[in-house]
Order: sequence, then structure tokens, then C-alpha cells
Amino acid sequence: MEPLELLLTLPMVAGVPPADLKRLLEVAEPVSVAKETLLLDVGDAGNDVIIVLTGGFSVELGQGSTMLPLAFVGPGEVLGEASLFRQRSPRSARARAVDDSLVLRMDAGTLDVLVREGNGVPRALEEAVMRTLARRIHDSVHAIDGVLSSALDAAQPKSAFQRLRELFTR
Amino acid sequence: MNSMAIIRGLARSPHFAGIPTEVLHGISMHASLQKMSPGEPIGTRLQPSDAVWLIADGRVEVRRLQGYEGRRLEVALSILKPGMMFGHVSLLSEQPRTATFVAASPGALLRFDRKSFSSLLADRQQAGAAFRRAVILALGNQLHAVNQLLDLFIQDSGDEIESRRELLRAALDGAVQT
Repeated sequence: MEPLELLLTLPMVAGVPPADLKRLLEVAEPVSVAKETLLLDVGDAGNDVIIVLTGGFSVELGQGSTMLPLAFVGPGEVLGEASLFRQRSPRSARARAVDDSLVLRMDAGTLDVLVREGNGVPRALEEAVMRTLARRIHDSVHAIDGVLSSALDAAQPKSAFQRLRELFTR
Repeated sequence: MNSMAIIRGLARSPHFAGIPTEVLHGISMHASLQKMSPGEPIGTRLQPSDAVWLIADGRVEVRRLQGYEGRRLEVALSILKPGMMFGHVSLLSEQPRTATFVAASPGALLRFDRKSFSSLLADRQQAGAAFRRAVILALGNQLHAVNQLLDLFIQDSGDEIESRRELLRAALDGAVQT
């Protein structure tokens, strides 16, 4: 399928006029990403956002035996969103292609151009980003709560409790 | 005047830094001022979220359910300060709250009920754009903090956390599937 056809299938941009999607493809060129490629890495400067058109990515923390898969991001979902509005703050997780994938990558400047033009894509993207971020936070906090509950029941609960309390309150 | 108090509360928040007063005024039309007293519950864990709050003045305690010596307790794990937003994750993810929020001091909150919050998110004017950016900024900061915490779990060399790593992995796997 052509990139425009792929875009038209994504619920994220449902309601955005096709002319706006065509304009998006003029300013954000589709990029092919081979399976196992590290698209985003922890500590990288974060100044762009990526829309997944095909394939998928694993969002991870840690490496090797300590790697934790936090989320799977597939077609119609967004990567890099946490850094987009935090003014080049470093990435806090990595994204690895789990399949050959096609993405649209654009920086904040490109998004600003679309905003100035009155294009409907930035607003659709903002809504998708809000819901993606909220879901990831909810899932991670839920998981952390579960782990802390277990850790606090362990043989030496106080050290874990005090340490995590510091982390939560700093 | 409540309207001026709401605008001042918005202006205090780093999420709305640099937003012109006339735009803050547009946002303030969607908010109400809610006074709080110490110990007063604001939102309860596992209840569906019906509003988003921004702290204009005072502090709010976040209580989470934890296991401790075989008992299950709600433990105060963090304090939210003026300018911070809460309730938005639950409302946006359409999941019940994972924490209980209790007033830790006298103060005032800016309350956006579900309808007002949705209206602002859909607003095509400058007020809507500024509000969406503020919410994304709050969410981005929060996810960054959560990832840092998870990273500390992973890097921790202590036996106690080490022994919990598989639990963490399992919990995250479960969370991702839901």
C-alpha cells in the first residue's frame, strides 16, 4: 500500500481531510526501518515524533538479561511522544523494531509548520499522544504498585520502603 | 473574584508558563475553584475519574495501596505541590484511579470536570492548544519519572530488588496485555 493509503486506514487521523494528510507526506517522508533496528535510544536528544505506519516496535528499558518490555507500539500509534513537548529532553526508553517497519518521522519544527498552516494533523497527533502517554503511565504505575506491594512484604521491607518513598517524593 | 483567582492559579503552574493572560482567561472559563481542608478526600482509588485538578495553592497527598508485613495499607508515597496536575491520567486512559488524593493542607484547586476537560481538548482556539500542550507536558514529565523509577529497579544490585525483577517483568507483561 502507498503511504497515503496507509494513513487513511489509521483511526488516529480519522476525520483529518485527505489534503492535510497529503501535505503531511510532503513534509515528513516515510522511513523504512529494518527488524531489530534501534530507532530510539535512552539518552538520545528527543526532538521528533514518529507515527508507525506498518510493522511494530518494542519499547524497552534495560538491556540483555535485565531488559524490560514496557509496551508494543504498532500501526497508527506514536513513538517519541514523551520528549516532543519537553524541549529536547533525553529519551527515557528505547524503541526496537520487532518487524520490518515503515514510519513517518518529523521534528518539532515540521509540526510547527503544519500548525501555522492550519493542518488538522497536529491536533489529531496531540490527542493520540495524550491517550498513549496516559495509558503507558497507568500501566507502568499499576505494575510498580504491584512490585512494591510484593517488595514491602519481603524479609527486609524497610530498606525498600524508605528508598522508594524517597524516589516518589523527590 | 473567582475568575482572577483561577487565572493566577494557572499562571503559577509551569505547565502554563509563557501563556498570555488572555489565553489563560479562555482556559479559566472552563474551571471552577474548589477550596480544600487538611484531610479532605479529593479523589478515591478505584473510583472512575470525573475531573482533573490543578493545585492553585496548598498540597495534596497521594496514597497508594501497599503490602506491609502481611497487611494491605494505603500509604502516602508522594506530595503534590502548587502547579501540579492530577486526575488526568485516569480520565484520559479511561481507567479507575490508581491512587487516593487527600488534601494535605488548606488550599485551593482548579477543577475541570469531565465535560470541561473534553471541551478544552477539542477546542480549536488558542486556549485549547495551550491546554493540550500543558496536559502533554504534564504527562511527558510523569512518564519520564516513571521510566526513571523503573530504570532504578533494573539497575539496582541489591538482592531484595534483584529477587523482584521477574515479578516486575511479569507485572509489566500483564499490564501491557490489558
